Amino acid sequence: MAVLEDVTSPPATGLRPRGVGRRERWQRRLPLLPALIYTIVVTQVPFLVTLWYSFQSYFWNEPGGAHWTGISNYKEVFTDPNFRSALVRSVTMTAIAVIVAMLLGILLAVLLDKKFLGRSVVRTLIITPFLVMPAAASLIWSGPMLDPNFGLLNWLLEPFGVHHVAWLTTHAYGSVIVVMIWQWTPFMTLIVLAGLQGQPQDILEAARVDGANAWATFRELTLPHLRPYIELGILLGSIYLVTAFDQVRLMTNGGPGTSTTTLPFYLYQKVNFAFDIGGAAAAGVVTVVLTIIVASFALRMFARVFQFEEAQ
Amino acid sequence: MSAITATQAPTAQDAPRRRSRRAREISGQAGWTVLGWVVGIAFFIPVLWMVLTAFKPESAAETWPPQFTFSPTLAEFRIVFNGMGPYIEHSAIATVGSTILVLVLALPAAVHL
Repeated sequence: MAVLEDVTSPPATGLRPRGVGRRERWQRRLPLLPALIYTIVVTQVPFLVTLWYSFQSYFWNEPGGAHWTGISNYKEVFTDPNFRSALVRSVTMTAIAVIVAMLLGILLAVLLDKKFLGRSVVRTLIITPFLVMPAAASLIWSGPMLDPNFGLLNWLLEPFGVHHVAWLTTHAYGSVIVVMIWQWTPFMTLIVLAGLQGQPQDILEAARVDGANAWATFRELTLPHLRPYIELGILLGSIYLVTAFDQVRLMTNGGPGTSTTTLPFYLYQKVNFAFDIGGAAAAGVVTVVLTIIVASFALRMFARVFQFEEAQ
Repeated sequence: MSAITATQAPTAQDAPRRRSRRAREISGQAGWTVLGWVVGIAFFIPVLWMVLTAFKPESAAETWPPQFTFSPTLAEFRIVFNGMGPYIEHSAIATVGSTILVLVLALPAAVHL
């Protein structure tokens, strides 16, 4: 909630004159109330319930129902090496996928910014992966593309001396990341391309007149101009990819072993296989707290990006 | 004969240099075109492969080496369309319902802000 207030309060206080009456203030608040109440009901109430369960010992496969255990669930979460490794894996997976997707996105955006034959068709081809449902994308890749016996990738790589690699078993972590990158590069491309096309041409012209080469122009003028767009892309990509579940569930099912078990998948396992409601709730609470810390930094960045837009 | 000697001969400098720059521009554009299409197709291959596989008969769907020529069939689509009614219905209800709900909640809030 504190995070929400941060973003919405500056314009609200700016709009509201100091000496308005109580009645008028309620009239202003009234249209916001349905959305606010709905948000509280679907986000805060479940969180409170989760908080309650996180202090309970509650196993679905044990008789007797829930009973109070204090902070033992939290102790378990912090000492569980699986939780820690899932957390680290989630962070590294998201970071690698987002950074690589962004680098590729910048390259593709620069490419699509050039004029060439059939550019609009190529743009559509490149955007397509983003429009595919994550579940469908996972299935395309895990079956027809990466299958060790019949996969297209193995066939394409055969001339290079690659023979029937079982990608999802031997390179599970990399395979999941590749699918994430494949899906998110188009999004990054679109955002960076919007930035590139919004760049004033006269500055580039001036740089050319002054004798700057293409790389210097890109580094000194285009990249600083693109910075807010890149930040926005990284932020949105991280928000979506850190919660990615489809790819892990459908491609590797968290395995082999726990080598692709990310945080969402860990929570899913804790509920659906261990039936450990209390432990899952505690892990969820820890995740939420960590997410809020990261998100409040990210949202501050978000606000700055929009201020930048307004300043332009 | 033109490009190399043109840069070396200071007297007939202007015209050939312009021509070579033009040639370079065209060849540059050709380069971007090739690169663009290669990258675009590379990104599209998994989707293309899915579409191709959809038209394959079951016996050609998973083979080694992969088959690119086959007698296309609509049998799989027939199966899909016969059983897809409820799923489309659920997706439609979820999508339309949540969109309406979001609009109802967000419109007053947006007007106010």
